[in-house]
Amino acid sequence: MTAIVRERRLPDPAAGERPVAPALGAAIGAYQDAVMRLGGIDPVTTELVRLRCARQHQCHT
Amino acid sequence: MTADAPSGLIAPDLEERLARFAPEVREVVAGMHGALWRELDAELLELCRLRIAMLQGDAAGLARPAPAASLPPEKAAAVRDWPSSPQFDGRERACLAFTEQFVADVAGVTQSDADALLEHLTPAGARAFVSALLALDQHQRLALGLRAVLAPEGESA
Repeated sequence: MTAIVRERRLPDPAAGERPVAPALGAAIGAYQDAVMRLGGIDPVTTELVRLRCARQHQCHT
Repeated sequence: MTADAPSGLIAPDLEERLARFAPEVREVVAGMHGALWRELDAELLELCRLRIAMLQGDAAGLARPAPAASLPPEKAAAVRDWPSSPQFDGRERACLAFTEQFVADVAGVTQSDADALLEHLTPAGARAFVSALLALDQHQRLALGLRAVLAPEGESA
């Protein structure tokens, strides 16, 4: 398994920096919210999948 | 389809399956793709979309019309040969190299991969590009997966 890396590889936004694609960021958030709310899969399985995806993408948030 | 997302941004068979089985997800996927094609360089994203389709063996993704920006035919035909083809500039090569690593092994993206991207994109631009890659990669994986498990409308599974 690939080692988890916690350092950010892209710099954090600078103070006052304008995002390049603000609607895209918001839309990805809306997508993730909608997927988590789907009722066809039980919450435990949904959470297991979410955690697996987070590990695969090395997402720590 | 949402007001933010004109038709054609999502693969038709994916849109049809989502409309049947998860219409609320179809709406947000449409919004996501409306945003990414509108806010970012559509020609650059089309290069990456085609390369993702090649790497995933998504023949339908390769064959469908460009969602937002068509490439010159000779450039589209050269995407597979991006490292050596004179059709591509340094920025496109950096983005395609990052795309290949992202699709093949996202957990294996290195600082060197990110630094190569940052030679051509601002930090904010690079963050947006990676977000767009996530959406494009996810779209094609979702389409491939749903084709495998859900029959087209009107056919039994």
